[in-house]
Amino acid sequence: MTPNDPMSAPCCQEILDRLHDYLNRRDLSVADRETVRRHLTDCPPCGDLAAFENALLDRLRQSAPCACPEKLRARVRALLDLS
Amino acid sequence: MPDARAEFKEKALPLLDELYGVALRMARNPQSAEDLVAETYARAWKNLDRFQAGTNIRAWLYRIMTNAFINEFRKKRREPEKVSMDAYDRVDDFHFFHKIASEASRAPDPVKDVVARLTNEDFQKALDALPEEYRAAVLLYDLQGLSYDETAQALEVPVGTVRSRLARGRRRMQESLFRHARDAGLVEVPS
Repeated sequence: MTPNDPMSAPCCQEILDRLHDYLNRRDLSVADRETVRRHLTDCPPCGDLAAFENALLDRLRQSAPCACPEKLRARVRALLDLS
Repeated sequence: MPDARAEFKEKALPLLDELYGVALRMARNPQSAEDLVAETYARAWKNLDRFQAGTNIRAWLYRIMTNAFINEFRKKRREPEKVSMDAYDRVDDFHFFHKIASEASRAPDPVKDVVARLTNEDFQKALDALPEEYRAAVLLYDLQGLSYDETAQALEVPVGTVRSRLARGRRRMQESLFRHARDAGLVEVPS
């Protein structure tokens, strides 16, 4: 939050409503990203929550490293080359 | 259509690993996942004239894959999964964190003490346990980083439905993860 400008500072709930959009990195404008980033830096409770959610997402993404099996790769290549 | 075919090979083949990863989590079975991915590429290749150059090939492939999964692979199962959409009136997006903050006594640093100590298997189980339509939304948006629009296109539902499935899917995953953390003794909850 920006104490010097309370009228324009978003409240915590507004920020948390947009937290997943922020963490996904696809659905916020540059200006909105900056607003969320600044709030998370300035507001420790929201910052802690965001760090927790981000860590959960990271672990979730890393929990299933999947390499396509070679036989499937060969199958798909054959499909494209032979058609 | 030699150019389109060359472009497809160049852009679609490098996506095999991630498409297989999503297929595996959708179908929850390696052989079905392989068949699903092969079917996806076969359909894309056959319908290459419908792909507009410059559009997002990744989102297009996910759309084909989701369709193939829903229409072909899921049909083979005895009972389609039904999800009650009104299970939660007001979803707490941050259930896990709030449970730790309000009830648990043994996690002064929730990221290090809890998230880092959960196992990959805990995360996979939490994801695999989701009803199919929630799991698909979480896979595409949270794991693969598609946008809301791309996820909505892939699942052929409105963006509002994507948001609602994501919220419910995350809530259920967070409940599962909290149970795993409690069972592993990473958090202590007063009985």
